[in-house]
Amino acid sequence: MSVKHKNIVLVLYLLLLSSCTVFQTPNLPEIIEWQSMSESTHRQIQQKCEQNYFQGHYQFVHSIVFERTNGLSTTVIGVTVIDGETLKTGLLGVEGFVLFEAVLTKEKELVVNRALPPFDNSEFAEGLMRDVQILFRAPPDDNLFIGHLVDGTPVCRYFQQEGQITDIIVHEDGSSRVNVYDPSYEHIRTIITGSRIVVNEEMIPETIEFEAYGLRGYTLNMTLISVDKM
Amino acid sequence: MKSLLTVLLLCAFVLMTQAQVRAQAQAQVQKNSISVESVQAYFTQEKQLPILARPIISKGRFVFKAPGSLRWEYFSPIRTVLLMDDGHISKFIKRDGKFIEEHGMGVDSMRIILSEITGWLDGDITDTPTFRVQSRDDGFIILTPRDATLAKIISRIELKLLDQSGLMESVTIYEGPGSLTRMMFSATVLNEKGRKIPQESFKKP
Repeated sequence: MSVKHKNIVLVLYLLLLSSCTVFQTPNLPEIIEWQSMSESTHRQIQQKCEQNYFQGHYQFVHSIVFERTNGLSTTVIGVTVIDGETLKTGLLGVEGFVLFEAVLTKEKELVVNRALPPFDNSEFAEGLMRDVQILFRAPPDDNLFIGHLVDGTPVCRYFQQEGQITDIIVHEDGSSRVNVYDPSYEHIRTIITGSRIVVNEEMIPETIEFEAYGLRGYTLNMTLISVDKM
Repeated sequence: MKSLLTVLLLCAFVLMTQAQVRAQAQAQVQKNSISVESVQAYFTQEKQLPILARPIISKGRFVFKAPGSLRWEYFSPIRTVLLMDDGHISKFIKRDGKFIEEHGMGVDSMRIILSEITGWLDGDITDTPTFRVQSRDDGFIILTPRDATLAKIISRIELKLLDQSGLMESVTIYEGPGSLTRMMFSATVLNEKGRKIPQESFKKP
C-alpha cells in the first residue's frame, strides 16, 4: 500500500472513530410538553422520578466491576452511606482492604480519610464523589420540566444551576434510566437500574449499570450485596 | 492489595509455623521446629470502618501446602480465589458462573511480596524485615511495620493464639483509626493425615 493510500485509510478510520463517538454520546433529546396533564398525573410522574433515590439514612454495599474502555476490569466492594445530607463512600478490595474512603459533608466539603495509590489524587476523589452523587442523590427540583419523549415515554428533566441536565425515565417495573448531560448538551453519564427487589421491606434495585463517556470512559456494573436502613 | 497479600500470606505462615510462633510468644525462638506439610482452615472476616454502621462479613477458606502453594478463597460476599503456586500468583473472580482471571491493581506487586514471604517461610518470624514482632502475656503477638510507607497502610497486626494447640484463633489488621479487618479461624487442620492435598487446588479454578 502506498503512503498516500495509507493516509486515506487513516483519515477514513479517524472519521469512522469520530462518527462512533457521536453515536455513543447523543445530544440532548427533545422532550415534548404534555398537551393536557392533570396536576395529579404531574405529581405522580415526579414522585416516580424522586423514588429512584433514597432519602434518610441508608448503608449500601455493592460488588462493583469497574471496566475501562481498554477492556481491563477490576472488582471492588463499594460502600455508600447516605446519612441525611452527608454522603460517605468507601472502596474496598474484594479481600476487604480499604482503598479509598471519603465523606461529602452537608456543607459540600469533601474530606478524604484514606486514599491508597492509584486513588490518591484529588481528581479521582472529586470525580468519584461526583459520580456517587449522580448515583444516589436526586437532582434539585427547582427547575424541573416533565414531558415525554417522541415515543411517549414520560421523562423528568432537571436543569441544574451549573448547567448540568439530568433526564430520569422510570419504567413500570421500577427499573429506570438516568441520562446526564453537561452544559454543552454532551451526554456524559448513563445509569440503568434493574428491577427492584424487596430487601428489609425496601424496594431496592438489585443491579446498577453506570456508564461514563469520554476519552477516559468507564463502566461500573454494581450488584447489591446488602442494604441497611439506619 | 500488596499489603493485603502480605497479611494473608503472613496469616498462612503463622498458622503453618505454629511451633515457631508459640516459641516466639515465650521468647524462645526456634527455627523450623515442626515439619509442616499442609494447613487448612475456614475463616470469618469482619470489616469495620468508621463510615460503616454495620460491619461487612466475609467467609472463606484457605489451604496451604508446603513448600509454597496457597489457595485463599472467599465464598462470600464476592466469590474470589487467590492462588500462589510455583512462584506464580493469580486471582480469579466468579462472574456469571465462571471464574475470570483479574489482572487489575496489585497483581505485579504480589510477585515482589512473594519473594519476601519465601524468606519468612524459611526463617524466623523475628527476622522479618517487614514487621517488628512483640509478644504479650495475654497470648497476643503484635506485628508493627518497619517501613513508613507500609505503616500508612497497616498500623499494626494482632495475632491471637489458641491456648493449647498453638494454632491461630484470630488475626486483626488495623489500618487506621476505626478501621480494622478481623479474621477468625475455625476447623483448622494441620498436616491432614490420609489425604494428600491435590496440586490442582492451586491451579485455575
